[in-house]
Amino acid sequence: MIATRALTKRYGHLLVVDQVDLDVREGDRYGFLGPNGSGKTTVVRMLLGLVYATSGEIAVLGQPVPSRVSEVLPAIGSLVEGPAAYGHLSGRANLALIDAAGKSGGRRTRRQRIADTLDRVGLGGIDNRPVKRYSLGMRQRLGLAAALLRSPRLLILDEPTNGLDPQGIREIRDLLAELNQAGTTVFLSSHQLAEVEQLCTRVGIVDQGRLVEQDDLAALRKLTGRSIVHTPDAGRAVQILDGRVERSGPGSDRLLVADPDTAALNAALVAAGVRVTGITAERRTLEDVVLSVTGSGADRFGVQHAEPGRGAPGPASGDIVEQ
Amino acid sequence: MIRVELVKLVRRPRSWVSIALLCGLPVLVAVFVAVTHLAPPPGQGPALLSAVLSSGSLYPAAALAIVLPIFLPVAVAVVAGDSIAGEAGSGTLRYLLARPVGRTRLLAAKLVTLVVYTLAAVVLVALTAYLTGILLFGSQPVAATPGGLTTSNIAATSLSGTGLSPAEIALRTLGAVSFIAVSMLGVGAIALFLSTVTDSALGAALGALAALITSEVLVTLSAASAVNPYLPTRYWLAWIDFFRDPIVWRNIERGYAVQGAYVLVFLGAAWAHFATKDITS
Repeated sequence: MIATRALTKRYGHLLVVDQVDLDVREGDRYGFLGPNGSGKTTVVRMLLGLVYATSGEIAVLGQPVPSRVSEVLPAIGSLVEGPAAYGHLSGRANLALIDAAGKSGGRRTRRQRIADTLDRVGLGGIDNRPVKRYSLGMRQRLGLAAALLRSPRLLILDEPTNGLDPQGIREIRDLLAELNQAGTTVFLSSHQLAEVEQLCTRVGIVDQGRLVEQDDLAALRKLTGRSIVHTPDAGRAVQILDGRVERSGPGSDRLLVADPDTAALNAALVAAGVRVTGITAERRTLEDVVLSVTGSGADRFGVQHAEPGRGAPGPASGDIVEQ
Repeated sequence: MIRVELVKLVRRPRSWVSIALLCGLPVLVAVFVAVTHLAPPPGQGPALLSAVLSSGSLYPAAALAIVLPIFLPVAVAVVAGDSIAGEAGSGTLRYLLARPVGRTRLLAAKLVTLVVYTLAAVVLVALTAYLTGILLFGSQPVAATPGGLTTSNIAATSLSGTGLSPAEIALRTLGAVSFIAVSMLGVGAIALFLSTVTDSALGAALGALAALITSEVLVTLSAASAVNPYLPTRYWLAWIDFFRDPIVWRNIERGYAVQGAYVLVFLGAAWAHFATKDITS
């Protein structure tokens, strides 16, 4: 659905996106993760033909972008850097305008499609108040409605749950999962690990403009070769496991054991009369993965040693890029 | 897309407030003049106002002369400056382009909207002024002379003065309206270009007005006489020549040519810049 090759964007001397090779397949729920200012939004803008790449190639839905972007955009719903609407008009009027813009989605079905879409994003009962009196969460839902208006094959969403409360986040996550079940590919750009971890099946991690990891979430969250044992008899367990315990806080009932075989561990502990309340194989969390492959975010400017072959980030690069 | 832009224009309260203000100023002036019967003497104050006291059918022209120096260019610059920069500032530009609306199409739709707004403003000012004029000053026949306009009671002393029928006045007013609309499009083109450069609607509008003020200053400066014929405001008042008899076409033609050049150059620049620009708003 989305394939980029050596995608690069430079603003003057500032290297914002550096040789990114994205690979998003049909039916994916792709999480595009990265710290603030890492170039996520610039990549999203390039996918939509808003920003032109300095070099590299982009293909979206099999068509080259930006040269034939107008052919693929009708099949894409997008939310880029927060929703936007005409503040003096109602949500419905806004959707009607955006639907009528460009290749119209059809005038006769418009009213019905707007009603259906608003219903989907949880704004079905909205009155005619102007958008400027919407809360942040309502605007976010309206933005999502605009993205869904023409039943897109591909959703490109940048921080879609911004400003939503926990219920709202859950609702949107369920909605996206449901759309994905129905065949929509979801490309979700976010700096929130939990959001990506809970929704996505594939993850790309970007750091300082470079794609540093891209794999299935299940593959990334691989076993660490250790087990976590919960037991009220921690002292005895440490003796029995004999040096294989890597970590155990004093008074804690949680032990980290350097042995992947939970079944054998359990049997050994129980045979020795140690009560086991829980035992599981340890997996890497997405957070571990991200922290291991990324540096500090682009909004942090400590003293840095320039790496050879990289554009040295100047001060406030994040502000310039993500206005 | 043009329909969408027109709907936006019509549903925007600002469009109507600005046009109401534009129409209101000449009405206010007319009321003062009608109550006091103190029109400025010929050659002083806004053009044609001196002739109005004796015939209201000239008031549309006088009204245009009142709003032309500041009010009208400000209104046009604000609307034109807002066209792209306003969408960028509110963030709706990226959603329009991702819909997709082609960049050239969007710019064209904005331009059409601007033309409609400008024409509506000028025509509505002329219409309200006509009604005000007839109501407050009556409609005596008017005579035009090579030196400018006089009303019938003065024209009696002017041998070369020919009487102007109401139809002729209407036709000449129409000519003035079209000339002023084109002049305003020149302003609009500058503001539209700046609107593609900045994400601040205010900045674009003020930039266009700054260009006009610069031009106004240079027009009066004899040291700048070399560039004088090319300044955007140089022929702004040439439409008054529509009310001479016979009509003096020289400056009117040059005015059209200069404004046409400004419109072409700045629209071209706006298109070239907008079509290749990174949309980061």
